[in-house]
Amino acid sequence: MTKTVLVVDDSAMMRKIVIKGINACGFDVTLEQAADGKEALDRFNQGGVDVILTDWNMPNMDGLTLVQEVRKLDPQKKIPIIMITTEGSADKVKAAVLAGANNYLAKPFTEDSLKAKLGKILS
Amino acid sequence: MNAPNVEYINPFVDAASHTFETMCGVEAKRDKIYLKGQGDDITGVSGVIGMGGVASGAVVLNLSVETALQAVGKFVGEEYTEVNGDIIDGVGELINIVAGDAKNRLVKNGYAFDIGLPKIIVGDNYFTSQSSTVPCVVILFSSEIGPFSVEVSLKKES
Repeated sequence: MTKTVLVVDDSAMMRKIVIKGINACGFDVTLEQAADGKEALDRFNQGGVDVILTDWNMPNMDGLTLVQEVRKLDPQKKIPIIMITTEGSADKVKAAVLAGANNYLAKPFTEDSLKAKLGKILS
Repeated sequence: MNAPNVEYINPFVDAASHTFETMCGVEAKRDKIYLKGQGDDITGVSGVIGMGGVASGAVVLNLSVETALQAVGKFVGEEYTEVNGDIIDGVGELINIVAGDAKNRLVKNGYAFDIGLPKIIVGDNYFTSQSSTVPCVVILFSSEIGPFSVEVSLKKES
């Protein structure tokens, strides 16, 4: 069954680039978008989201809060979450993992690194 | 004027090269580095982002219109012939990633920094002015899509 990947970023350009990267990797997935954490959480609550790729710094609700909110609803971490962000310091990575993120991809990233992170989850 | 701190500058050289190579597939080679003079104007598309922490100031990514069209085109995988919303967003993302990558390198070296939100300027012969007491280092890059520059103007917090 085709999995649904929700791409969350306040930049329409960055969403476009992440989606282009996912398509280039050849994954057979359904792609959906959200412009901030709140929109993403609303979409998540409707059901059917299998994977979340989220930015960190966003208005309304940031990516870290989104991870925390999703994990309240999904404490067994059945829904994989990858943070894709410029926040690449060790402290930030640790905070993301403690909040419940499964993986972390620092910008700038290559299609190969995106493929590697996403491939582990989708395979 | 205080001398620029080289330890603040090198991370931007590496971050800009790394960002253009990984996100745009463009090899960017560092060219000249010099101190910007008061009143030196620039042209084209500029992304500006503020930084704070152990030092504060701003970083500017400047590209000619032609280079901006090509850089964002390669970034997104589309072709652009004029400056539109995608170009503005794309240059905003590029300066955001360059500053974020540089910030991570600076943090790794023991310098705590935060970055702000990017602003974009488009036009001919405008100035990105800085305090006369804070040196503004211009790093020129050469690439297959044309030259571009990164300006770094940071003042150490006392």
